[in-house]
Amino acid sequence: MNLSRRNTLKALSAGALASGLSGFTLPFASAQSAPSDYKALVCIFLFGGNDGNNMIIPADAAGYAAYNAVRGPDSNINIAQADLLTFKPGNSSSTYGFHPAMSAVHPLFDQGKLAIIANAGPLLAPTTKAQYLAGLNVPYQLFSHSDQQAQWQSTISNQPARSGWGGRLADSVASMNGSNPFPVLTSIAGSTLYTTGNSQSPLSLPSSGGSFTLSGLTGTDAISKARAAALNALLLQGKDHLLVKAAAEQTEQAIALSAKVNPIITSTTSSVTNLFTTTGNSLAAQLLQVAKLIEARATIGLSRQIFFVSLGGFDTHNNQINTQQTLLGNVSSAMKSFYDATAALGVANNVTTFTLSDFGRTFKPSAGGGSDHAWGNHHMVMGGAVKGGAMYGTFPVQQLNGVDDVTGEGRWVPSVSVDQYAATLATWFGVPASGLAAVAPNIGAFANKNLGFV
Amino acid sequence: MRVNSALVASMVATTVTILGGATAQAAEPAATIVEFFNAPANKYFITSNPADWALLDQYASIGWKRTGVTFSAYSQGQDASALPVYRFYAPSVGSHFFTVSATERDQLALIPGFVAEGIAWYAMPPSSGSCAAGTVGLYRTFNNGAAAGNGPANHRYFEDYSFYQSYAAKGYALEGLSMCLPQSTAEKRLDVTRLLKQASFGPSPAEIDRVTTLGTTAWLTEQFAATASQYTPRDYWPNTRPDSCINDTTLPVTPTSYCARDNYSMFPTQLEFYKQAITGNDQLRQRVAWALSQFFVISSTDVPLSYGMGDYQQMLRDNAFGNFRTLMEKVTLHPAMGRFLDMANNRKATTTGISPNENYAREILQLFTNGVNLLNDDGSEKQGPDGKPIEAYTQDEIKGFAKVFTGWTYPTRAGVAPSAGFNGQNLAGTMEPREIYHDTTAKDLLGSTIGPANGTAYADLTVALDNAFSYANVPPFFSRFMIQKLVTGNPSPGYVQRVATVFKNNGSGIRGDLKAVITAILTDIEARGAAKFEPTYGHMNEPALLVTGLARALSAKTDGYYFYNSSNGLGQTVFSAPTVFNYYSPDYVVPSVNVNSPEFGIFNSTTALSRVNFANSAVYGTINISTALYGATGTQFDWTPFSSVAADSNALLDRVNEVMFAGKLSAATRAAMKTAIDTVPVSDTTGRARAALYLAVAAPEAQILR
Repeated sequence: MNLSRRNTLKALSAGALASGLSGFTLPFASAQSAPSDYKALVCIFLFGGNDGNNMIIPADAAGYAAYNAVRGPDSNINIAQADLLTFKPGNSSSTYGFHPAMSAVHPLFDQGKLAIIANAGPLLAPTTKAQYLAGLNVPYQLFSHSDQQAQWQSTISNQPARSGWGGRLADSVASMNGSNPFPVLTSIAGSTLYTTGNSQSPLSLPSSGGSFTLSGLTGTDAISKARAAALNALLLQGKDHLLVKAAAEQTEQAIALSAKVNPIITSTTSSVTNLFTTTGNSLAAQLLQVAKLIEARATIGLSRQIFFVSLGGFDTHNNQINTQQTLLGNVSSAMKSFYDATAALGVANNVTTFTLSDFGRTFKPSAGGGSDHAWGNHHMVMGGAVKGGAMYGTFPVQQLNGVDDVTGEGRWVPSVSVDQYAATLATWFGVPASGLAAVAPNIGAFANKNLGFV
Repeated sequence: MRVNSALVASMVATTVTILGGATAQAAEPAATIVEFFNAPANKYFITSNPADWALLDQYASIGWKRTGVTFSAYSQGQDASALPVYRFYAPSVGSHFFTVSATERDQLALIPGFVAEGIAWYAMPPSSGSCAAGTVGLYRTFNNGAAAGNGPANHRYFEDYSFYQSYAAKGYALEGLSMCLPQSTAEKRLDVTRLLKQASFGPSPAEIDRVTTLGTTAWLTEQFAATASQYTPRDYWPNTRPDSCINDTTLPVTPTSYCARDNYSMFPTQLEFYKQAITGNDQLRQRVAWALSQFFVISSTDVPLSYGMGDYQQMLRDNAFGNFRTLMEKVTLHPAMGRFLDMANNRKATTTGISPNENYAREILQLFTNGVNLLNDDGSEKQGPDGKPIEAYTQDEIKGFAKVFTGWTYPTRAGVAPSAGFNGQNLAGTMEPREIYHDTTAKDLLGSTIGPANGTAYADLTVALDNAFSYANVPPFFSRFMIQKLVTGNPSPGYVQRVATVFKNNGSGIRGDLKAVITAILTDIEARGAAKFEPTYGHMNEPALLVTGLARALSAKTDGYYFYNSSNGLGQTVFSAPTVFNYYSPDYVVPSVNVNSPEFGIFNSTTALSRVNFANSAVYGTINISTALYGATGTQFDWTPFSSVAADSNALLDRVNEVMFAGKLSAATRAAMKTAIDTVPVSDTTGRARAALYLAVAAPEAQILR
């Protein structure tokens, strides 16, 4: 049980929300004064391993020819050159194209609100193909869904981790939120390693359309009141068993926060609702919920918030063309709606959104019109503070058995690490250089601790 | 009552292990040990002698009071396996000591200052630090006397292991297991209740009565022999829904009104899952199949066709008590799995640069047999010279298995000519080989290879499945998983090893005998014995078990509709895990308490509220009969077992404690519940029962099955 949550629960169960929090202070509340600004990070996890090789495709003649040599029309996973939504990064001499389903976010790149991080992945240190083949610096369980999700969510690639970098970032910035019992972390996609800190734990909320309240306990008759009182009493019991304790405290926390949260997420007067198309797009429904919470930031009263949302289905071993068309269309549409919402709320410069995913996929196609599990992958970072219109990291040489391919099927050794990606975002969020190792413990292995994209 | 020893011996001979309830016919323990405490003297004292009780009850004025703690014990001649427990008195400190060891008795007799006071009661000795199944450990603490500033030397004895351990913080020495005590009928009823929470979809009052009478060994025998419930076979439908197949909401509903829902989702199978889990007689088979469905995962999120998915789930039921190797092959060649993990119509490398699909190859090794790291038999990870885990397979071995799993296609449909190439999609039956697409080049297997010998698809499959099945990881990997699903999320290494040993050899030289493995899991001392008191023991009732648990407690009659709807809102739609990685990881550790407990992976602030809201909906809501379900019968509860005793709130709480809490209801929770129940008029017995069940379903203490 972490200290801050225990105190949160103590405060809340004592009715502190209603009566004010005077007399109650977190041990470290005075250690750092609250910043005057508001910042939020929004993590979009693309579960299954998004095929970045078909999300960002070289569009100039030489680049597309290399792509077409492996993923040609006979491969069943070819994207035609004419269909690419082209862009030219300001810091590159090459032209690239987005997947044709991504027309919604495409303009954000040229507007400087969207950056591409090329060929990023878990690394123990800057690593070459030769080092990998010699067994040096190899992250554990490459190409395994569960293990690579964990490494993207934790930055820790030498052993299984118990906390995620979102959670540890929340630990680092918690003091900026003062004594506010509202958690730094909110997940709209359930429990994840990403949102697990050493002392911070997330509030988990339903997607837009759901509610977050207990039903059947508002009766004012003696019987109903006695039942509600008994429920409150029994949530405090049996805690000598650790799993009972864990269940009880999670329930207590949820009940305590529901009075503040439920009116926000069930509000019918939100100004951002009509910016989202949530039908058939669960990511849009989740990001709408995030937008509503950001809209209510004054009510919630936090200076720093971290959100987690996700979309599944990216494990495209087969039928990738159709599946990814739908999924990337949903990602693109949801991200654009969310950007527009932050702009409408006047916080576009205060909210940075970024993607994570299990891994990239083999450049070489596999039977069934799909691709298999690989390593380095391309990602997107979006927001007003983002130094967009540019590509960071190094785009891989798209050649089987080439300098970046470690197995012969087009599994790229990453050019930049998850540690660097996380540290860059943490720096923007207000973590000093001396605090980066608390967020990304292995950042010391990388000379460049800021990729410069935000 | 020595008559029972022959009976017990015969049961041992015909079954692998004795269970607590197997000794149901054994003598009811005639002795009751009562604990007293003298606060001014800071002394505990236990005695089974009614004359002692009477004496101490008269000495309340000098501080002697009953603590409320009692234990069961044998009196002389009740049980052949019981030994005398000797009582000693040390007048210098005014304290007693008890031992079941004749050796210790003889040693104490030689020490001046100890007065032998004869035989206190009869109990069984621990064996290798453990108590046999069917008995309860009595743990001893010592307060270290004046040396530790605790006043006169004194021992206190505990059956509750966590309570025992908590005495370390009070400066007491934890002296371990002193003896093993028999179970009374009440204790046996609780063991039956626990077994029904581990091995069925929840106990009902009637089933607790029945199994207590039957005995748990006989119950297991009955369950292994019970006829499997059947998911209704459904007709083939093409992958793309015909425009004519829609959901027609026109009333009244007909069998074909909801064509799209009934054929292009798993809805009918999911309803049958709940209906049969709640009312079926083959409880153990269904519960094991539900666990297997979370090991050999396929999901309707990817394959939303009920005819094939139902066929797969029935296959798991039909093979739940068979052999693991058989199950591996049935799973591998089932076309729904073939579709889900891309083995169907997988082919050898093409000249145009397309590789064999690696999906099934990777996941059968990672999830269905071996796991990612090499394991010891006790489930712990082996370590390499660098102190790190050793990966269980290489990428080259994945590629080898990917080649093995080429050249298989969907079953030929009745009345349709088989294709010389790949058949079109058909998700029921068994996949068929197409040798022209099978990769006949050399293949790496686990520490082995298949040479370029032109093996047939089936010959290569046999070699590869034998290779994976024979790997040393399989017994601990699968055993730990099944223990987690049935008994406890964080089993001891010894528990995993004992079950893995049975997986390796069922006693007759057979590897992978699932019936033996399940028996070993459910009869192990860690499933039945004092480990249940440990503060990390057990596992959360995942949503499917939460709703069936209440349904069976209330002896529900149901068409399944209500419970299907309810569990969806709790974060678990049966047979629809997000991916092949199931709803949660077997390795999930609850961050706040640092305990491995897989089901907590889908327990968060949203589902925490949803669970309490389910209690409200089920107990107080109106459950309507669906108008969108042909032949709907709705859901009816039988409140009688609870309402019939509800006029007396203590009697009601006794019953709720047994059925819902397996006896683990704390005094404080009980007091809180009693206050709420007593607010409801005595005449409203159903209202009282509702209040009790609502709070029981919502109570954190009832969320953890232990």
